[in-house]
Amino acid sequence: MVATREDLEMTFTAEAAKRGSTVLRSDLAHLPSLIAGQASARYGVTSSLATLVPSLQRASEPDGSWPATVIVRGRLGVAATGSVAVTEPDRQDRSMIFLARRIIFLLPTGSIVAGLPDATVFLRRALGAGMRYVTFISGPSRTSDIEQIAIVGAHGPGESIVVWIPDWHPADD
Amino acid sequence: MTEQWRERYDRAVDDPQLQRNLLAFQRRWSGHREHAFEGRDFEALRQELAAVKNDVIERLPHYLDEFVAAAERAGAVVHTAETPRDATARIVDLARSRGVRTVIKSKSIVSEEVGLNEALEAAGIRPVESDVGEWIIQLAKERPSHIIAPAIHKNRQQVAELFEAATGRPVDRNDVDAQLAVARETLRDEFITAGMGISGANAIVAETGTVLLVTNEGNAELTTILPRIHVVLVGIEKLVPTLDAAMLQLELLAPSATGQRATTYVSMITGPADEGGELHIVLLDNGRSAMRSSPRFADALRCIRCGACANVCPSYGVVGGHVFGYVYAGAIGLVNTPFHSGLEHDTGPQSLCVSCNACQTVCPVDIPLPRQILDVRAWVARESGLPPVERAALALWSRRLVAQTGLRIGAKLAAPLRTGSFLNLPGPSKLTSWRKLPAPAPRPFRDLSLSLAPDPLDGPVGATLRSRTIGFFVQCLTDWLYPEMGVAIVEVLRALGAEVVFPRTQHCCGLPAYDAGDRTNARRMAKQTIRVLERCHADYIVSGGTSCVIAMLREYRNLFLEEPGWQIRAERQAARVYDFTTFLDRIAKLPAGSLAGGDAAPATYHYFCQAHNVLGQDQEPMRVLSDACGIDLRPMPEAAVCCGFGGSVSFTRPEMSRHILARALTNVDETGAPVLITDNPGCIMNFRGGVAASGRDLTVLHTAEVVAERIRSIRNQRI
Repeated sequence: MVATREDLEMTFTAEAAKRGSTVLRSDLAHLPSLIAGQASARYGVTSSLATLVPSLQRASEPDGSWPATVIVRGRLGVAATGSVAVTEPDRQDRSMIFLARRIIFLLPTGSIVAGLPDATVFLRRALGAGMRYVTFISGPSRTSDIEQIAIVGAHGPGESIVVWIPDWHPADD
Repeated sequence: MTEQWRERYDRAVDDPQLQRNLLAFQRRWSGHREHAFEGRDFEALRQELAAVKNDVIERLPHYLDEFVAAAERAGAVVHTAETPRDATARIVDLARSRGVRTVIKSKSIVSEEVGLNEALEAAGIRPVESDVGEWIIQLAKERPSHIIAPAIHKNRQQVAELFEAATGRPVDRNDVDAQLAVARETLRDEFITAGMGISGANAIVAETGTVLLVTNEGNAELTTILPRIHVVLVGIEKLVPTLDAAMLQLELLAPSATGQRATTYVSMITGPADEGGELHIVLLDNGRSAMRSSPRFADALRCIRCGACANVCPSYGVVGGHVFGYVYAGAIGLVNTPFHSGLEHDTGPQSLCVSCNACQTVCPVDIPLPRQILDVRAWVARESGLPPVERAALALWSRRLVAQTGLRIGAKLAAPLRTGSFLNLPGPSKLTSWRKLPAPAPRPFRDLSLSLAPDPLDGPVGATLRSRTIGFFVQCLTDWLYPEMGVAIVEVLRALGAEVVFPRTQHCCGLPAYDAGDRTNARRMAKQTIRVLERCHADYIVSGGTSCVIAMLREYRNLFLEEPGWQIRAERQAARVYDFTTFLDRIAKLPAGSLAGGDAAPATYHYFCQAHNVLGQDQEPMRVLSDACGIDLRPMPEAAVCCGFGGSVSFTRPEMSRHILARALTNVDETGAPVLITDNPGCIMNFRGGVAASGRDLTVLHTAEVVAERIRSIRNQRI
């Protein structure tokens, strides 16, 4: 049986929650208010996303330091693992993804596959488009290295939020 | 065996904190792993990945060329290193030529293998480990004790002390969140200021020249993004042909490593990430080509470094990775250490394997680790020789008449030391303080006058094996220590309508010598056994010694790898050899309720570990004991985890075995059952001795004794 997009999104939501992510939905018009509710006043937006969603660019107030929250474009959701693929081409943007304390992924609703084996089509396309650094992220950073106690927020963000956007259709997707 | 290893072993077996940490970790991991593989066909997935990796091993030069070409096309610089020195020299040169003074590293066991940190420090370059566990270990100036959980042997107090010394700031002794914050803040500065990032790789993809990295902390990403120069140090066995194969590996890696469905981060790096950045990939051989050309060890190159083999190992659960392994901890370390670090570093570790075979059952690429560990043991025995007493004992044991005469004399000499069914040995001993040793039987099984003709029970159950002839292979411990178990087996077979034949010239199957690494004497005894079986006119050969059955079914194949004629003869016999439980379940097919009745005490069942892990025994004992005999069986936690007997290991490493037995007995205690049933005379000897030494009120029985008791009860009722 072939899973529908809705099935995949339901699986994604359940799996992402298991790995500590919060999954939300918003249309583009309501995105700024949703972000305002989730992020502190200062947040960073990766440059590729800022071009695509100008309303966010306006809200951004980069001052050179690492922002507490970063908003990043998710390229693909993986339902079975609740993962989001990111491919930021800019080094500064890429650094921000791992240095912020909170990460918010914006993801067009159609960009989803069932499992990691299904992500190879996306990967080959990404590589073909010169994307040299692809990361699948499943929830907040974590470690169990001290007495095997699981703690979120090791080196990377300690909070992870995924926002599905149904009316967003980036041209290069 | 090095003196340092012996010191580490002595310290580890007396370290209760270490054992608590390891046991808690192993139990938690097992639960998580099971959950992570839920709804997925682990066996199919691992065979698929094993086939992919086999192809890589077979066509390694081809895939290496493909990878190098693709990586260079993407802008990476690829270096090859035959030896650790080649690898470290290349990386030190790179750092020096670019004026790098600090390198930040993400977890790389290969860098431990080549001694990279030492080489960098010697060159005046400061390496900083960024994985929290690795940083703890670096501060403690130790080696990782687990591939995935390097600091598993440390507690929070020790971590706080190390962080305090490193940062010069007070660190809370109990607050692990605060400790993690110290690590994050300190290491963040290091990420930002380091001139070079060094990582390993979980896989490298020939198709695209991609480097795949997997972490939960995000440190690999910061290591490879922030510094402008990224160096990947990777063993050539990490190659996979395609992105699809890389994804398949990911499906198995996280569940096997940490019991997660997926790790937080999976990064795929193809060429330098930025303009002006550098990506150098150092491909390390260091014994891998030698492994590849060895028919016995090439399979170990499939390893994806998940650490699962350590997580199920009962020996590792006692002594940890500083003792059970060298650079690589766990079963894989016992196999690859001779190739990567030298056989001398494996002499001690390999001696700790109890051959329970649990490691292979969870290996995501189905490496025949148990067989390979015994091959290493034979290699050690060949190079260093066995201890003189063991060598002499096995040489005598391998000669049937000498051994049997010696056993009869020994039994007579030991008679005054007999107290009940145990030997009362004078003085305290590390062999007997935790487990009483059994006294030899007054008469071995082979001296008993038994009727072997059919003596069927009334009704259909008595016709179960009608017209069948069963050859009985008694097994040495049953013969000389527990003849009543042999009597029980014969009684059951006759009651089911079979005729039993007992080949009188039978001796040992050779397993003790095989387990000890003495292949010459193992082969002598195996050949003698095969000849005896060939002359035995029977439909089936049945034994209550399941370990001997497994030796005949599997180990003979390896033992006679270089003697195909004997291999064929062995396999011909193996086709009709069964352990008692499997035979009753699959061949006799005892109907449910056929031997039920009476009010037997509740019992619990402990699987002989190899029966579960090698024969795949699962519900068979339950069908025989619970369904057919009506025994009230209470489930036992960790019912298939080894009891610590481990062939001769409980005699050569009693300090470790006593911990494994204590774990098993605690699990039995949890059931509250007054009877423990199991299937192999070695385990029975171990359990009975442990029960007697600890003063528990627990009866330990072989499955055959329970079934025979049911048959006796039925016969008595009908009189």
